[in-house]
Amino acid sequence: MHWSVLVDNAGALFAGLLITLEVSILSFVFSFAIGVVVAVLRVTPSRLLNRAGTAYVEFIRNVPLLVEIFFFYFALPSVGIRFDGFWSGVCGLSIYTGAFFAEAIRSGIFAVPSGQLEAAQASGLSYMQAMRFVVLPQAIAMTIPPIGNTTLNMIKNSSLVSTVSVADILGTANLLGGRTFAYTELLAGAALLYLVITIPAALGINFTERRLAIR
Amino acid sequence: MFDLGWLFTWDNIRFLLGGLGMTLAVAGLSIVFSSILGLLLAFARLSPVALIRYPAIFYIEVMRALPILLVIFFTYFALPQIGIRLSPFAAGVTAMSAFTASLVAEIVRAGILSVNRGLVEAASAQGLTRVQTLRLIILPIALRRMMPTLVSQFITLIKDTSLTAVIGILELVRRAQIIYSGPPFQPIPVFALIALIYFVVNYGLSLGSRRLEQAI
Repeated sequence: MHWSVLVDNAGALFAGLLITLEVSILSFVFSFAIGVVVAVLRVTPSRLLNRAGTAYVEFIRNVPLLVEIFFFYFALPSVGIRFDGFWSGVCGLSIYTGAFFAEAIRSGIFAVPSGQLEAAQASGLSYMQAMRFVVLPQAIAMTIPPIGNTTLNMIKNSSLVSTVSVADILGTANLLGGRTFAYTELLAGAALLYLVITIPAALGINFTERRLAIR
Repeated sequence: MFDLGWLFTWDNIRFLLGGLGMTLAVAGLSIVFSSILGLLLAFARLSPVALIRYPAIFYIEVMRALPILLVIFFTYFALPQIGIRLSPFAAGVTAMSAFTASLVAEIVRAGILSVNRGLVEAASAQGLTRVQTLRLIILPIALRRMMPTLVSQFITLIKDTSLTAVIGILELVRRAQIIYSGPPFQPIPVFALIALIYFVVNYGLSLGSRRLEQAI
């Protein structure tokens, strides 16, 4: 074992960590936007928009993320649309994760029984007050766990950008592994970097979940 | 571009169906192994013996916090360095099973913990042993409750088998790439076709499990 390979390449691995975070943050912003739009489509009274939203969610989440990333990277150039590996990854990840966010948000909107709003208004609260003090706190509490879990999965899924030659954590470890043959050490190092992100994130989600449950 | 005769030749269809077969073989074996390992891990995590419980917690929490692609690479590239040499197929199944087991374990544990304590106490008051209570009372109820989550986890697994393409398993994605790398070099219809195949398999599974749920 040559664990020194991790020290020698600490800079490259740290740069990989930054790429992973960059892909994750950009994808979070885009996929959350997609999720809100699609969730709203699915609760509108228009049948057509409703169907479109449902079709998006059901199709996208039943097709592998890798196929969606490869579609941007390998397929779109054939019609003259060119994305580099980084943006193919961000686009694929956003479209994929958007379907899961849409479901999380939709379930939150439906989770609060309409009787609650009526009861709050009957007790003398205005519509806005009832929304703010009764409905929204519950709706948000319901959506935070699935949104947190989806985000966590998205961070892990961001490792798929390494398949379209992006030097994120996994891509860097792989690249250096091919050069030094110290795969065990480099992949173990990469695993550690992922754990540094995902375990605190998971603990944070658990903590929020429990706090919201008590309220 | 809209003449797709080149794609739907008998050779291509047979080639892609073979890929679907490979995808389902990797997925099927991984479902079996991850279910067995996941069940054992769940029991281990619920064990009163700390020496059994803590290794299980460690395995589950570390494994499920890692990206599955990393686990696949580790199994295929790193294990040979400590003398464990696996074929791409064996490495793919091993990695997918080892990873998914950690998620199955959590689903099983949640299912077991959801069973009413009163039922368990009533069972032991009737003279059932611990093992009998687990087998006859807890597991049947828990299994029914965890079915929907388990099915959606296995759908994720089927999607994740696509990642074994990167270690050279000739499943759907890899075969699609082989097809569009030849003339007429048109990847879009090929990707559309395999996306449709995945959709039909996975959506069919989720509809089937919903039906089953209503029937029970």
